[in-house]
Amino acid sequence: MEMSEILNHMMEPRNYGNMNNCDADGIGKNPENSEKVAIYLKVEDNKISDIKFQAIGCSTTIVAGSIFTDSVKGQSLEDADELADEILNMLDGMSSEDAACSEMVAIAYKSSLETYNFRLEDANYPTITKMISSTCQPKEIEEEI
Amino acid sequence: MLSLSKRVHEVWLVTLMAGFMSKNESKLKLYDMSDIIFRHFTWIENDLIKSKIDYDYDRDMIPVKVEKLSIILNDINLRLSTIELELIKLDDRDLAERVNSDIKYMRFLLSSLPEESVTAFNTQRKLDNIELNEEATDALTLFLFEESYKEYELIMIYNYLKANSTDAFLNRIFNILIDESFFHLKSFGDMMAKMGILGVPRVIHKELYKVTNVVEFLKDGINEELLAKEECKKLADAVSNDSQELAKFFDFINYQENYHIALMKEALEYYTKEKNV
Repeated sequence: MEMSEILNHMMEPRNYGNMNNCDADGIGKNPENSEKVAIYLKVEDNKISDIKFQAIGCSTTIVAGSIFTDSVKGQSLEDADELADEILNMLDGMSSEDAACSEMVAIAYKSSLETYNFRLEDANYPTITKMISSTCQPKEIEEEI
Repeated sequence: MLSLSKRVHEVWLVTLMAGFMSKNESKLKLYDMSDIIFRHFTWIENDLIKSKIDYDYDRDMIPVKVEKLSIILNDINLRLSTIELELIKLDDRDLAERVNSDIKYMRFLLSSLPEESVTAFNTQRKLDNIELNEEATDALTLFLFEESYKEYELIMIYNYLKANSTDAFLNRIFNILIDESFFHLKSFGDMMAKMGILGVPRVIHKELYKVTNVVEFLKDGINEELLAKEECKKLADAVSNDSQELAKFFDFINYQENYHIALMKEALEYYTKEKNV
């Protein structure tokens, strides 16, 4: 990705913040540290009418969340899920930090989608949290361990 | 009062950002204004606590990307008008009067500031008289985004802890740490504006400042300061070939982290002893 595009998302992250009246939310969490991403969904006619995210994480996570939410806003839940799958399939080709951050965003979306489906049956269903499998540590350190 | 607190939080940040954008004598006036508004924020927070109202630091995203300073100054003016309207409803009339009186003076100051063209968002990523190679520029860019947010986060966390504690010993430490983070935030924000990459720090997750385990928070904080020292050292090394001035600045920031670590260790020792944990 071009540096100018990355800077754009760093300077003005899209869809960042809390959503009090969301239909569902989900969390992607890194079990190695306290980093996590929360995604909030507002759904109308099976489409994402609004989406927000919040993160406890680094700038890479913010850029990943900003790009993902910007891409899926207005899309169907299934299309957004496909994009999340595509991201998860690309993790091997990324640096460890990029992989962990991108996975947190994709997993947070998948958690929010699962929460949404459960809430169709039970409006009080609790927020689903899923752990990521990528590690944030650089590959050479992983090998030493 | 919750809405008032949120609006004051937002105008504090906008005024601080305007200070970063300015390249002349208006900068210091805007910094002073933002300091005054931050104090308003803490007074209102104190009223919220006294009234036992559950509050948080959530706020709206703040668009600040402008090409002329007058646009952001008008925005500050409008935001101050909204606050004036909110103040009418405030039960604490003494506080409302104090804030109103300050706003009146700030409006006068704002109207006297000259027009400037703003280059804080042009993404040029260049500093005056300093030629950095691409790798050093990328490292500096990332560092400034990470650390400017971190300093804002620390200001808010220590402010929340201070506001909700009556312990004079701990509050002295929190106060020093708030002041130190303000200095760092201003230094980094100013540098971001010069490089054309200014951005408003994102909203902080409640979990970070509504601290339930102070001991763990302080231990984590000490580790984070140690990591920040490493980052400063790495950055000083990355820029040292191109700019001794920048390298020395980041060595200086690195050294300041030692003091923060010492203060946090002092707070940890005291808290552990006092609370017998």
